[in-house]
Amino acid sequence: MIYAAVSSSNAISSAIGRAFSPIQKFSNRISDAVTETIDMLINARDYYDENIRLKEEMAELIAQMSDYTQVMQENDHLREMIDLAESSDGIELSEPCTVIGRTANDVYGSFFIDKGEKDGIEYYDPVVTANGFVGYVTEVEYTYSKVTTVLSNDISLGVYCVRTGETGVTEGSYELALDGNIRMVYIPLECEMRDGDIIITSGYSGLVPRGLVVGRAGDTFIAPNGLSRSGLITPSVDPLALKTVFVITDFDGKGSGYEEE
Amino acid sequence: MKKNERGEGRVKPGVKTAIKWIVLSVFAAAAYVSLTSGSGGAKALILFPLAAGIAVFEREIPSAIFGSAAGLLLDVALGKLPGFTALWLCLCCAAASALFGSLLRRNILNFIWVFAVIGGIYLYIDYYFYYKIWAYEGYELVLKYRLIPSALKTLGWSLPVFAGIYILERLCGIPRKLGLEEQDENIERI
Repeated sequence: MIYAAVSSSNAISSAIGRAFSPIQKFSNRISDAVTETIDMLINARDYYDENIRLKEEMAELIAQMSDYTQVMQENDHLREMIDLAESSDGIELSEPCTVIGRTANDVYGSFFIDKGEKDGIEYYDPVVTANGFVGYVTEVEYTYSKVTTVLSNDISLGVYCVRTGETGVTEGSYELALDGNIRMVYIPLECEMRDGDIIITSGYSGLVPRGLVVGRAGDTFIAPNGLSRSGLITPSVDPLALKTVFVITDFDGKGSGYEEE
Repeated sequence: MKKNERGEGRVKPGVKTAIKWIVLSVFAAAAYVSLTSGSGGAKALILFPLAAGIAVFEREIPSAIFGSAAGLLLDVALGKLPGFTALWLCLCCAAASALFGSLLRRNILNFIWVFAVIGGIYLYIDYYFYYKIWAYEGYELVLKYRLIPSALKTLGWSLPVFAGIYILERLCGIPRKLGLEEQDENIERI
């Protein structure tokens, strides 16, 4: 009996609860909204002050974040500089140079850097990153310089394969540049160079130090004259993706190739 | 009184002209920056329609001066011999200005065909002297993948650029006096 009474009262309260639940929700919302509005009206001054304080704090944090990013970038550049200097003995690097613009519609991806004559940059100074050779400085102004990339048909480099020691010369063309490649020519007919071999500068010309990575070898084929082989090279550096580079202002044997002639 | 109702006569003509040239110079600088920034690929040479558009509304000398300046900026941005584009735009803008001053009506259709002729001849001269004459390996590909896409993009940009110059001219330009034949209402116009 008692159980029946209790259970039936539970059922009744449950039914009432269900019926009133949406109304309770609605009234709660109204109550919250009213409380919030009153709170806003009463504490408006406090919120205003807090808002100003938080804005100031945020500005300070943004400034700190900006400084932090700048320091991080500087740190990365210095690390890159140290890596470069360690990888090639006797080279003197410029400060990190930022790419400030690009030659429009240029297939070879030539670009401008923010260092020029006042920073000790000279014509035909080699330009590099930690990944390898980028190109040469081909125009020097007082505050900026223009860099012609390794993709250009104006640039030929003496190179050799690290694994096999086979030598050759690089050259660029419009067709290859559109695919981001260059060609290695005058490779001996009996070459053992394979796809993926690393190609580095020979330093013979005196324009560029020895041992800078140019790229990776692709397939080789017999040249049209039949006397040597040619092969594709995929440069280790994509000139279109560069943001910071270094200029080699001096190195052992600079100018020795052409000054002797 | 009427002038004031239409919003004219409040600003001195000299101030309006100064504002117009400042806006055009800022636009030219922005066009130059957009040309040299970003990654590779064919880019629209917005300075070209800008110079041609100015030639539609201005007299010969200002058109030639602005054309030379725009051409010089283009030469620097494109890595060409300084003066190559500047000389071309100087001559073409002066000629276009003379044409629009005496023979052609100043509307978008006339602008488009005059601009297409100036741009088309420039495209061929550029291709001939910078690529074809040297016959480097694969030079034809430059025409296909750089010069023509760039020319088409430039042509596409010429419409909004002309619209911008037209609006600026309406806002800041000095109202031009109608020529004798334009004042004659009996002339049937197409």
